[in-house]
Amino acid sequence: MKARISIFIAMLMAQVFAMGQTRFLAVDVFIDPQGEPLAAYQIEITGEPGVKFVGVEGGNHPEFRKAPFYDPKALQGERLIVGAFATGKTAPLPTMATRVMTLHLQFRGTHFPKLQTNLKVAATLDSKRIDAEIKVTERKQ
Amino acid sequence: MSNLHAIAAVVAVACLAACTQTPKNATHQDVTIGIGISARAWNAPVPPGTARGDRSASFGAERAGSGRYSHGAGTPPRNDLYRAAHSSFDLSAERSSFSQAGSFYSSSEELWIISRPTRIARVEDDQYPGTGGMVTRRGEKEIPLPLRHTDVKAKVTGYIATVEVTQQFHNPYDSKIEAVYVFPLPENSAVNEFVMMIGARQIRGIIREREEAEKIYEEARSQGYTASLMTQERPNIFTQSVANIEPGKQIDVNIKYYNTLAYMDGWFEFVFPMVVGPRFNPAGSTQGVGVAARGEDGNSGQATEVSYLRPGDRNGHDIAVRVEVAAGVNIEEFASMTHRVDTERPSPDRLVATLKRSDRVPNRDFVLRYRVTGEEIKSGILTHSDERGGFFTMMLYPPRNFGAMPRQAMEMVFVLDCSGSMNGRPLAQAKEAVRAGLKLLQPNDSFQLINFSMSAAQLGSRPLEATRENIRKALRYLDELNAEGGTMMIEGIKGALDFPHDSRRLRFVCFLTDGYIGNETEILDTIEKKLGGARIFSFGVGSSVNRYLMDGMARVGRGAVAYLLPQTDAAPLMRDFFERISHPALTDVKIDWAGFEVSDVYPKRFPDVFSGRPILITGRYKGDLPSGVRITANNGEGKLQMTVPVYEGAANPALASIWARQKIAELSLARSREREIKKTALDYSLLSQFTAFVAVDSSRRTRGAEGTTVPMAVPVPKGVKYETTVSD
Repeated sequence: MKARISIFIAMLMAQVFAMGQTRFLAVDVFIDPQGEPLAAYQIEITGEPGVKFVGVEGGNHPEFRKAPFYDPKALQGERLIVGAFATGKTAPLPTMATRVMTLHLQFRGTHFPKLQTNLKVAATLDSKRIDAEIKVTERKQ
Repeated sequence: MSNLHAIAAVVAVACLAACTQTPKNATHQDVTIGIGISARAWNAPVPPGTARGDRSASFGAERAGSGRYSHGAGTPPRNDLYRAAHSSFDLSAERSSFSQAGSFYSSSEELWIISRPTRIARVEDDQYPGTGGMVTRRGEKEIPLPLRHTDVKAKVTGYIATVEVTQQFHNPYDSKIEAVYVFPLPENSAVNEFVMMIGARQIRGIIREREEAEKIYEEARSQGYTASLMTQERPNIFTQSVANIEPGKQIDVNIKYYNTLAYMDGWFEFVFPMVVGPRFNPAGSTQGVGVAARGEDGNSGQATEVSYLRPGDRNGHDIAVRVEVAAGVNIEEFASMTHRVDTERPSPDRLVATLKRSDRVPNRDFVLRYRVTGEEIKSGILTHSDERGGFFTMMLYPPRNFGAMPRQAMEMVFVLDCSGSMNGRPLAQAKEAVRAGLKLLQPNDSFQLINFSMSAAQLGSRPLEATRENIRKALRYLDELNAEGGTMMIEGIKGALDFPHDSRRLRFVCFLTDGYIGNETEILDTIEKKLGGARIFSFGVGSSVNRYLMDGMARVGRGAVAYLLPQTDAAPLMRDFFERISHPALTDVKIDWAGFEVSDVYPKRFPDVFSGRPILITGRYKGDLPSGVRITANNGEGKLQMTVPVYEGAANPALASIWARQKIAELSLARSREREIKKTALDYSLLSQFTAFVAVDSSRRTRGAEGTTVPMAVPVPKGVKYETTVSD
């Protein structure tokens, strides 16, 4: 009985220990411009308490490969406001769902952290607003 | 089962479970191979000249053992990081008809840091991780080290430079490494972008409070993620750390900064520093910049440490520099003062200078000067506004003739650094400059000659009249000075300022040094306290001078700075200096902003304006722009007035960064402004002593045990002797 209790406590402690560990996670951010050529976007992302942004990576489309810029002031509250624009000079602008960036996060725990995303704007080259969709997925290692 | 057994079982299982949760590589931190350590106490030689002449003061200097180039006390380096430096070079100056020996601004040095003292085990020379992966040539040994190449691309518009620096790190070993590089940038550089590049992938670094950034980096490193961290050790010394570089892999780090160019006597000057010179730290100091011979890292006891290559060793690191100047007005003349360059002139107002392939060893400052058409340089205010508000920068050039009063009698104090790092060419040049200065004195002047290394000595117990006999005596004294020992600069400062002021004469202190010290703050504080009515003119001597210190001494000492590069003549520099101080400075500078709603203007106290030396003022504004502002100043004969026009030009976001950098520099002068500095740096995404950039690639965990930390060893700057500084 004592042995069982010991094992139970050990497992519990291990779980607690794992919960306290910081972990890193890559999250891909896709925008689907619903057939319109995507030239610019601005996204606001906030994580659950404890989530920290530790890198902002460019996307896989040639026009969005450069690492996007973020607002340093907003970041002080762990609110990532990030944006990029493309000119279509190196490749045709994406019209289907495309990875526009990857976020690198640090957090505590074993779960996938909750992220609130808000696509503030997506637009075409001639500044036409696009009714685009945003999707966030965990990058498997 | 006893309770004891039960507890043991719980702990064992917990540990087991925990291990399964921790990253694969995180349990091997102690395996670090590290760079060997073994501090060498730096034997301080007898102060030069203490038995010469009739010097009667020795300013109570501490003697042997009171300080070291490689710091002493055994305190572990801050943040558990060792630091090492690197570089190596060759020069040549393609001077056109340039005759200005002096220069201005910019900082020069670069370094690397790597490793954790607690994990470093002493290893024999050349025993870096995976020795088999090393390429070692005998004769001139090439030591494979992680920084392979630095690429510098600068664009200068007007007097503002935008510079992109890419550092290419690679792993030449057969196991993972962490690369640490301590390197220089200009002391007024506003570093506001940081991108880690892994192949075609670009990860923008995040600006954070330094402690937090270091923690994130450390956790990523220990869990096997590729990560990079950039910190500021001094306004002109930075550390780049790149963790978990796998064998054969390359990681690039790209940084961007803005800075304003120096202007002196008609010449603009672009400077890119390449190596951090070996610093001396007084005994008891732990926050200095230490020195270590390669393979003996981690022993200096200082927060930052530079590792130097032994003579005959090379690190294989090279550098490419390309500078594009768009002056806006015709460029009349230009000169590369330190390196061979290829040049192009796309149009009369543009210049492109590219470092020649044969001149790519980074062991000294890169200095490019250019002069624009005679009368076209005018004071003006540049403005920029965006969602953060309005920003302006005013360059105030002194008028050509702002005073023709007869020269006043001077009390000239020459202070000469005779420490080990000045051995050879630097001391010879400094002596030549003092010799020229002595000969320019007039009969109604008085003078003193002070030399210092571990302690200070001086020619006379009090300033001497500038008689021919006294000047001959001084020249003899000067001839006998040698360079050896540490750099107790504080003794030189005290010697220059700690004696009663002669009210009949203006006191000018002419300070000649390479500035290779690690206690800059103490020096600047002391100058501020003791300055009184004196003015300090600092002369940086050498190929990679500590420009942060030299500029700081001139700023706090209300004087001006000049640089004596290795291949320039000292006599013209001194003539220019005498010419400058022979004119009254413009003092009591006041600005009538004429309805221009300005705030946060820096510097808070406007400096005096010397002939040929402009001042830079930066601030924020709201509302409409006026056509100009009115300046009044005292030129010794009366009030002088001028109007400076305000330009509303194209968007220039550099002005915001330059303003924020200037604000931080000013706040840094006052202690206990940490919060304000942090806030400014974070708001404007600027590197500072309290903020850092961190980038983590969390998409993939590298294989294998935690990597060995490898400091990037650099050569001592050109003209500096390894034997008298690093002390092998």
